[in-house]
Amino acid sequence: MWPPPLTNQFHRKIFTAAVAGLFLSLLCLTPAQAQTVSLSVWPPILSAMIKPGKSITQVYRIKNLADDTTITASVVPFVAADEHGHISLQFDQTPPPYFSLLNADLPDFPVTIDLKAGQSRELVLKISIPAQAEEIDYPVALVIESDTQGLIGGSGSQAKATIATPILLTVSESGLPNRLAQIVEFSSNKIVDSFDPVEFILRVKNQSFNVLRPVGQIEISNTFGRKVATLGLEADNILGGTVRQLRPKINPEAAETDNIITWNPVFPLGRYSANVKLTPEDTANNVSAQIYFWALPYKALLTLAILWICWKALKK
Amino acid sequence: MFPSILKAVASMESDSYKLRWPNLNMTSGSKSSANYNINDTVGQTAAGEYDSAGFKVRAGFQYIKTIIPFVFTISDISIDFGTLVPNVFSSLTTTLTVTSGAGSGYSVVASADHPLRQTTSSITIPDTTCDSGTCSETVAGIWTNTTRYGLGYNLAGDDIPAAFSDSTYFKQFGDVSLGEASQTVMSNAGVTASSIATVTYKVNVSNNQAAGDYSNAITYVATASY
Repeated sequence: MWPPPLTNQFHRKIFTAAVAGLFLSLLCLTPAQAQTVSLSVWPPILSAMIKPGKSITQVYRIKNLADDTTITASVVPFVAADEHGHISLQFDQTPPPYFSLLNADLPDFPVTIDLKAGQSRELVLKISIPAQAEEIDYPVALVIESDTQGLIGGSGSQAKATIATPILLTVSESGLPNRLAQIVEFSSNKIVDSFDPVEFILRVKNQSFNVLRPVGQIEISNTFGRKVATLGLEADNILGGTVRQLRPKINPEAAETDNIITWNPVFPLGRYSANVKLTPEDTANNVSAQIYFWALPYKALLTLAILWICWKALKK
Repeated sequence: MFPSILKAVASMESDSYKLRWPNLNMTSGSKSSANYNINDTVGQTAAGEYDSAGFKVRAGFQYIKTIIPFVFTISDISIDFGTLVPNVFSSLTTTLTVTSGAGSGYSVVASADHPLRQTTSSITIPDTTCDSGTCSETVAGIWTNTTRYGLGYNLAGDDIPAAFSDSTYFKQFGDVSLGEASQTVMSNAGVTASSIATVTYKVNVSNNQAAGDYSNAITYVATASY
């Protein structure tokens, strides 16, 4: 029979203490912990140019920063998702058979690994190019898919996390493939206010088959042809046959970056020219473009005009 | 630590070849592992050695914060609505966090394997079409009317699509079973030390919805950009 009969004062005290302890422990219980997934991978990008017949290796560090999980690593081709360097994984495509793992305890891709909470794992990726491989680019990504098991009591959705890092692989015998760039858009507002910054749009097409990095800058000259500013450009990767919108030079110390090419002059006035010159890295294939714009304090002039009209109206 | 790194970086530049951010810790500890045996060349060539070595490698971004790994976190993978009550919205949230020194940014896309579906039958709770009946996986719409049914999601926070202008706007998840494309839920073309977005899942069923438990899987794919 429960509870047992409390025969004396001592037993009564023990029972009371036990009930109080149980009550307190229930009060101290934390709510059910959310099932979290958090994956870390380094390096976040790999760019490699390899001769046919040669091979390289790269160590990838993967860390599970959350609950126990199972990951599956594979290599998946990708294409450009937009003009900003984002990638679109092509899970229905097969990568070239140049990618394997050197880890002795792991089979080839795709490979499934259990990762305990906080556990790290190094994957040694080998990229081996056959002697007869075609001299083109092979944009692929190392893809890590997690399969953390969650608990759903009724109706609901189970989330899964996948993390991917791009590999820009170029196969080239010479190491200097011919790279050609084309400026498809270089623009700004035709008339800008003298109190506002001037923003530029610069879109560049890679007309070759290999990824290129455009090195260059924008030079701004005033009405008298004197150079008044130079805007650095980030040498972002542009995949073969694709267009990319270029960004201003990244400040290495900045926590965040502005992705719009902007000139912040002090009260510009008159007609200005902006001249962009680009050279694909490791080539002498220069391209350039020039635009003109007017800088006027038109907002202030408009305000003054309205005030003048109002004053004249009141005077009448 | 940085001054010595920068000095090393500066020495790896020539007229023919430039390595601004070499593999800072690419081989550290790797060769001593018992799990693998490296016989191939590891690392990257110095200037002008392509002909002899046969490769050039850059690992990591040109940005100095490239030593920060690419990290993606989902705060809660189990979105448990419990028992659904007809004509009453059920909402739950989870947080997506991206941490990266990636110089070219990142994107996160999401998709569902199918609509919420009974595990024992093919009966589904369809994706929401919002109050107007026109929202989809690509078009957001206001969803506040409790006589409009389905599953949808809202986004708030950093680097989210502009379509989610406030907490009343919802979209469908791209349905893989119907061949619909994954949709971007977070993206940034530049450096973001840490970006956080909140996903609100919302479901509503009619009185005619068959009783039972409904479920699906939402896959989030976070990719570093190039």
